[in-house]
Amino acid sequence: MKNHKRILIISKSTADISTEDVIDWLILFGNRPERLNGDSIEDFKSHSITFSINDVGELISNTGMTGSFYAIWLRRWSDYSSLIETKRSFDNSVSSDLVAHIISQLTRDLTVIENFILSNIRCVKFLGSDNKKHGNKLNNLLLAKKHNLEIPEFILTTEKTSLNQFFEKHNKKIILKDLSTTFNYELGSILYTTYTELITEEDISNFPNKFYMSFFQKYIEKEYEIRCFIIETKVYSMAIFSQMDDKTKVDNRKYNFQNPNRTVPYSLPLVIEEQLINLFSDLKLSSGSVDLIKGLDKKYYFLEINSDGQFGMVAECCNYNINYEIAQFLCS
Amino acid sequence: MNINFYFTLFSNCIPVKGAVRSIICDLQRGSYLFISNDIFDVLTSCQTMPIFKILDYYRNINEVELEILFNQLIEHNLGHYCENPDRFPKINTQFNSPYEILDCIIELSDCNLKYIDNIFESLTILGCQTIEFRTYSHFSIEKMEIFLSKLHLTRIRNVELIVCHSELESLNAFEAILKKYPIIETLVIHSADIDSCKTIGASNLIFTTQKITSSSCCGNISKEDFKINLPFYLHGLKNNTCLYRKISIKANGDITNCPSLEKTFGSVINLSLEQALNTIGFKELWSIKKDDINICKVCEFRYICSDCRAFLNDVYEKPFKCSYDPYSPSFHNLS
Repeated sequence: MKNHKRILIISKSTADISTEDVIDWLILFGNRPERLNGDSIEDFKSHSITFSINDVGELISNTGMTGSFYAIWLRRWSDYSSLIETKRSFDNSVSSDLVAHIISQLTRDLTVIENFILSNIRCVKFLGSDNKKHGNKLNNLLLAKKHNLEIPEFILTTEKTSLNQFFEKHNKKIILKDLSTTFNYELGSILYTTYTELITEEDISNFPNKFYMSFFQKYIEKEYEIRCFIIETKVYSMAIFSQMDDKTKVDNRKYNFQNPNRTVPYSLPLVIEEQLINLFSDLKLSSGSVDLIKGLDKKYYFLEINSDGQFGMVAECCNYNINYEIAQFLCS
Repeated sequence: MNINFYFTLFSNCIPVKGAVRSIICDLQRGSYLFISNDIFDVLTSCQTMPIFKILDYYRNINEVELEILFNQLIEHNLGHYCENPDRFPKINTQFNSPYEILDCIIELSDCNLKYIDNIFESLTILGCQTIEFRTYSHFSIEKMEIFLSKLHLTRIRNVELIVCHSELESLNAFEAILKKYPIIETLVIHSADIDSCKTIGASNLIFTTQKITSSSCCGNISKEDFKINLPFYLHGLKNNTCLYRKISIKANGDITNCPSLEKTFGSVINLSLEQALNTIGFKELWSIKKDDINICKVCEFRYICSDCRAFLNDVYEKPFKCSYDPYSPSFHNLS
């Protein structure tokens, strides 16, 4: 069986297992996909890659990534995490302030390159999305509400008085959440990271009267959480029983490794699935992951979209054939 | 307890009924819990009947007893109350894999070393993901490294290396191998003086006094070898858990289902693995599932047992090296 359609897979690195799994299906279908890893652009020491423009104004590269493809799967672009190595490579004589400036400049430059490449490769079928483009949590919440999905009430404020009103309105149960990506900070050998946290009365009393604009959300008492992976009009859902464990009650990313949260296949009500599919089509997203909560009030709350989120766990825990579906989409 | 609700086991907690007792296999956490066959029946009905109907149907169990049972299962995190069980579908039992071969066992030898390029090329075509290298007696590290150094050309993701302890090789040399080839998940050194284990990077280095001196040292069935996970369970429902999508190459180059099986399907000297795989009879034992095997089919451990189709008198008979009797139910000492 041979399938000669040109398929390009854009991934973070060779270490991405989901990419490997999908490629294995494509190989079985007789296709040899081409591949571009985001980190091959950052890691100039081990890769040689040059881009230029040909006579007819097309993007070309020495790695053969030229012309138009039948299908492109943007699994995920690099998160620029390899810049940590660059950061470490400076010796102590360079001030940390200058290093920070250099790293943020490099990040901005890499983003320009990323946007340039992503907007200049051509294909008939496109799957996936750039999280940097679709990752605005606030926009997505608003749009979800427009599609009649429940969302936990939120405020964005710089004022302690507004925060106090919001706090009282929701029976003193609110959370503070990251707006963009998770904040990671390495100090010595310890990695500090931000989690979603419940805000207490004491926390608020320690806040100054005015602060940087922050995102507060009503805390939803949940029965369980739901993670979905959506590809076109197919919704694969998994329930996560995180409320049984105090450690994972507010944020299930605080994994309990000894006793992992129970994760099982879930079937969302059709009306919720339709709302999610409509939301995705409104966002022009062909695939991505969604986090939901099933509240004790029996409502389904939309939390957020991770358009390039990991789906391997949903596929594995529930025996969903997501890798196969993606491969099928790309070569059919 | 709201008797209008259902009590259901989580879909990855599978009740399995045996001749005289049952177990619930927790496929997510890799453990199991014994239950009586009566409770098995109640729990099976619970998947489709709300609690009040269960009380109506099973007259010998009252509401208090039932609630105690459910609370115990909740305590073990095996089940939950739910209003609408349709929200929690069963796990699809279709096992899908893009790989024609999942496991390969290679006995390290000069013969196989000579044909290693052909072998690896075939394994790449077949998609093989896991490989086990074995030696029953001393085999030099230098030669072992030739096998390992070519792994990056294949699609293999996990490697297990089982080698014989030898005075000729230093411990440092083995540790260096693990550092150089992190793809090796486990390195077992058998016939060692003491039992011990340590980790080198993300790999395990295990010393065992057990002597694995030939392929006849395989096939033991014991509680310690139970495999309690979802892919294994899905395999076992439809296929033989020991041999399905497995291929082996003996020291002399013979291609077999497993090193302990005599029947050969050609030799790597003059045949590719793909050709051997398509020889009549190669896949014959693949479809013998536990539900087809006498005695095993009434064993409560049937979906977590490693099985063995090599040491037996008849292919539909329970493994010769299994001492468990599901009727008694206990493990007997082999004499």
